[in-house]
Amino acid sequence: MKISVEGYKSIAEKRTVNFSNLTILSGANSSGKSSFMQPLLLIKQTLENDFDAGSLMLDGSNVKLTDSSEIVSKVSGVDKKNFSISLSNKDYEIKASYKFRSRRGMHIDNVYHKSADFKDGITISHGLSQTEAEKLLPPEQVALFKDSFSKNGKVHWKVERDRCFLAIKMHLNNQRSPFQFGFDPSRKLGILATRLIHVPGLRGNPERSYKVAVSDNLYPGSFERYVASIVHQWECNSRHKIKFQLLKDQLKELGLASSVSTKNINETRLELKISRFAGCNQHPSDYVNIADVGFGVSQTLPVLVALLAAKKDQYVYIEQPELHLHPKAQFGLAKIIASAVTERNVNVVIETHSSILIRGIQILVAKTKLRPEAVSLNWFTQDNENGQTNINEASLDKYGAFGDWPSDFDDVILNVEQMYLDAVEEAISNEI
Amino acid sequence: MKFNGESIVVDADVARASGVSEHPSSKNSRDLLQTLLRIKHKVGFCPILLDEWKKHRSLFAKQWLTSMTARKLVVRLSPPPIVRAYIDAAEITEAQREIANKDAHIVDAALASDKFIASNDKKARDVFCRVADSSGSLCTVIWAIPSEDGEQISAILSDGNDIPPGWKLMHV
Repeated sequence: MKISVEGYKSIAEKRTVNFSNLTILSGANSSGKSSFMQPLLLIKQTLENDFDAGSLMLDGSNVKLTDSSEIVSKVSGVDKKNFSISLSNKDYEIKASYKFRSRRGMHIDNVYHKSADFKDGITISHGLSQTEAEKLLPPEQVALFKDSFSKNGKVHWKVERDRCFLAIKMHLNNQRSPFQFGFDPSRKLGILATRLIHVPGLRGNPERSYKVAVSDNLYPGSFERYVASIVHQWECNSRHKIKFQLLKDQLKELGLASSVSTKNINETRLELKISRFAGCNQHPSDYVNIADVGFGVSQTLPVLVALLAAKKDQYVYIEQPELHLHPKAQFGLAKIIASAVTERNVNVVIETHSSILIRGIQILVAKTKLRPEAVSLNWFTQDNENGQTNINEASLDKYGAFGDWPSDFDDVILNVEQMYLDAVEEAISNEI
Repeated sequence: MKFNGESIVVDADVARASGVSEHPSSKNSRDLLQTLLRIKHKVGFCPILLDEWKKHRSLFAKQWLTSMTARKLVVRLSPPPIVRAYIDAAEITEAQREIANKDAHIVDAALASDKFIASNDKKARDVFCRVADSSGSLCTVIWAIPSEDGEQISAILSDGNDIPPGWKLMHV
């Protein structure tokens, strides 16, 4: 699967990432890593919002922007008032383009769709006439519906805005028909956005109690608010005892806690409790509230729970999974992420600064615990002259090596080691 | 003469020197390793040499080797052990023979690749210069000393500077 973004912030010219089972987005600060994923998150929070304001929802649980002008690309030499996001694979291509309208926000402008049914590709925009819209639909089925509803009146099709997308919808006597036959060209993009599990970089302060948040396979908003409820469900329901045990094992492997537990405070609030120390006997007195332990647990728990909760083929996007983790635990995360990919067929996208985490992935590939073709490494840089984001993709060979790679990556550690040793050498020679 | 080869052989003593603070050999060794990484120049390792590198506790050298490996800049060599025969046939003392045998694998690796060695072991170089008297092929091997000529080595590899004739394994 490929996602392309164009005209969004520093991604003025079209940039594409090939999403694999494990997709790694890495690069210096402000290189455009988060910006690349934001269009998909904007669509997610727009679709999940109770209220349809007509434009993309800028300030939500997944992305917090205050004005559409923040989205419009300001890369010099590029004049764009639109941005677009494309989703494609060998079977289809969908591109949704949004236009900036002053004081009205970002509105869907057109949708391009290409698939087996539309081999040459079609573009749906507000300006499409009813006749043109109808021509896009399978003629036999159009005729069938016209016949079926002929007694009720005139059937025709119109392009309509459907939240942040455009669709062709059936109208009966110039009114939207409750019974629908039409075409939603952006459906797959919408499904990807709403099924996406988003674990943000800022995962909230640990709380003394958490609101009960009911969820199934979909997690509207950002994921951390579901964590307490999911862990509680796993703990109390014998059907999920394997996941609960896996979670405890993973916390132990990372050296964060030997156990986790939950407690019902009342119908609407839960308490998350963590074992006090590694050798706990899991007696109730051995547990403390999550707010009373270090940040490592509260910030990592959403990552672990998301990877365990995700269903097969579901995408989990985790920003900085290594936050607040000791280097040893950062390394341990590699195995946990890889097991979600290989054992449960979860698709994982991580945005990371941790060269230890990436090295851990390379080791797993070299040890044949992770297929090299399952990993896509993407390095983001920003052009010094115009601020345009560039993306270099690398794949791993069977030894976990990625070959030619932008020089910044993990050279910092080597350079710092060198600086220290050179400084010591100079100091010693000055003393002599 | 310029160096047109794909890879050079870097002795484990460069790894050792890079991890300590012996002035100026340590900094020169580190600078050379950094240059190799920066210009994406390959390095050749035979199994014995790789083992020697791994035994060193220098974090810098380990990190460097990891980076080079990850970038596919490490060439794994399986050189035939021919240098010992040259050492056995050479007119040198037993002490010199012992010095040479210790580093025979490095010269084997160089002969199996592009005949360029970076090693701080001046004693070993001097011995191999004598061994080269009885071996035509050894005379073509370059032995460069990073602790003394680090900058010059970097310039040869990165800028295509000429190799000093005195760096060849020839007994003068």
